[in-house]
Amino acid sequence: MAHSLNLTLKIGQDPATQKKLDEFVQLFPTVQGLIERAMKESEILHFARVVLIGREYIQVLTEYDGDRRAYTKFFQDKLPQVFELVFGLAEGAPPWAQLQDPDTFFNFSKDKDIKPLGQSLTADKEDHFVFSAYGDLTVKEIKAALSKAGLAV
Amino acid sequence: MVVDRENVQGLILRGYNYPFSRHLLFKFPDAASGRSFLSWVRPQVTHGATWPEGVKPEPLVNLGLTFAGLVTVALGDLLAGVDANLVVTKHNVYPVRNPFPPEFIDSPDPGSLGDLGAEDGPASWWNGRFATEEIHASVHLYTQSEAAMDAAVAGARGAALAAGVVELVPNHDGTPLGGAALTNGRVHFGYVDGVGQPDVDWDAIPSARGKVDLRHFLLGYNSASIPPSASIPSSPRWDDTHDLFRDCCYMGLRWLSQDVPGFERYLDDNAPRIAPNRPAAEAREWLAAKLVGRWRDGTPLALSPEHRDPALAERNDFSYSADVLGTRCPFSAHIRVANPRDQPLGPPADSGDVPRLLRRGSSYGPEWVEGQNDAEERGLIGLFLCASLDRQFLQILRWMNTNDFSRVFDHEVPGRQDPLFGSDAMTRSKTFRIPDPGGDIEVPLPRPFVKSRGTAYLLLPSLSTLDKLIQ
Repeated sequence: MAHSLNLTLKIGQDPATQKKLDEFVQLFPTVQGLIERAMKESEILHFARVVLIGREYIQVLTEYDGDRRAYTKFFQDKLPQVFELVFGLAEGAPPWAQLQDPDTFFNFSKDKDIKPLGQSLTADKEDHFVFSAYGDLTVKEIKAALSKAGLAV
Repeated sequence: MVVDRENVQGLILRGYNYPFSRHLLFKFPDAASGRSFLSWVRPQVTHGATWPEGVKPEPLVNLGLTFAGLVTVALGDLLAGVDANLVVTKHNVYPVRNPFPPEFIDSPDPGSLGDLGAEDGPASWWNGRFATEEIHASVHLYTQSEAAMDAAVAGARGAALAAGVVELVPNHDGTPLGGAALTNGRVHFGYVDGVGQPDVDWDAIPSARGKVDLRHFLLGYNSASIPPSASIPSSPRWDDTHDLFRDCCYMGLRWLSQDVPGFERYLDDNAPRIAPNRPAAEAREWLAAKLVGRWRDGTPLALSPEHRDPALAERNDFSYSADVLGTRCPFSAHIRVANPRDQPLGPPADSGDVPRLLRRGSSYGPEWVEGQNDAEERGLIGLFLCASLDRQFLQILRWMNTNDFSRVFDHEVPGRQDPLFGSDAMTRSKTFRIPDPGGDIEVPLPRPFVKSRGTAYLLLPSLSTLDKLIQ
């Protein structure tokens, strides 16, 4: 069953951070290809997007398979520059030198992950309510089934 | 030498192999009672210095502390003494931070453990006699005789009473967890125990070739000054707490009951069908071997897939590179999941190392007699030692519950699991696959022969850390 990540960071409102926000928004179209390649390589991401709520919050929203620790470590290793930019916008985030430590990175991102409302549809109560039209099929299983049906992606 | 062995609790550096063991759990009503009890324990704690040849001291004594126990005794003050921004609370805003990992701060999460059934969830842990959150300390006793154990337990209980510390007793008959080793070095279910422990290099960082780095087990040796490719992350980080927690080690304590008659019946019921060309007794042993990855005498399937071989029983230097189809050792066999060795990990698991654990558990309950269909309570008090509960202990449990960490599972039926220790609540596959040159064999998953009775996360403090907690 896919898990959800609702990473929600409050953006610093000081002039320097707001300038960094504008730079990040301008840069994003050029880095999204890098992000897409990493996500495809992981074979555990169902969906992913980065959204801004005004100039006050930035969110990374994903649905992924498997355990959070492996998922977090994978993307920390594959996209360090992107995460440096994202966490660099966050109010109260540890310095990037500290966030490069896997445990610090994991703990901070877990702390900023907002849990959905409702009760889990699986035996794992930590999932809360996350609907999937594909039941608990994983990315690998869906792709394998599509490939078998001649509908390779 | 890198590690001061006299600063490290002995249980970390070696398995004791004493026949009798007990694991007592305690709650500290307040800091004063906790410190008083720790003061009694401290001079008895067995450390890692080698004892004289031929002299086996007893009792051997080791101590664990939960996060709640550390906080009750002194942790807040200790941390503040290092850095005013280090705190014991959660959800802080940097630079204020709690240097401990969340899985240690929080109560054990049943979802991470796979303890999601009605009979093995936290509500049923410890026979419902206390909550896991009440555990502050564990005292582990090891002796050569039952009489010595009775005296050791009496001593610990007397000291607890004198200090005003409460013992948390999970058994209805008032006995602590623990028991006596089985004959011939085996554990319940009949397998030889103690094979396959990591060969840790306690004398060098990084470790010598072929050995396991000590930073997989001891805290206080990683920092930002070590290049990321060479560092093995653990918390608290040396950069935060310096030497305060050097030589400490985390321990997952897991009380597991085992249905031995049920397991033997499973072998009786399934072995003849899946191995019809073997004599009945041999077919049972073959099935038992396929489930675990070693014959019950210890012979690794990877080295001898068709029969036991006493000459190979203690071998731990094998790989899976010649077994790419799993026809020697099934991909989901217990030891192949718990330690994939050289089998390549797939994304995203390949972003980390193969997690290792030191296993220091002991059996409890009467030895099962063949042919006996009893309802005796028996099982394992598992003590799993590591530097990161999440990256090591829980990671391996996740792999056991869902076999998805390697490309070998890409074409498997969804939801494959470790057949003995995977959680029934977390699987979609109801069978265990035995790859075979003559055609794969699907066996009903044996379930559930292992039930969780309680889990706690503790820190085995170093002697210097313990001294600081007491002062």
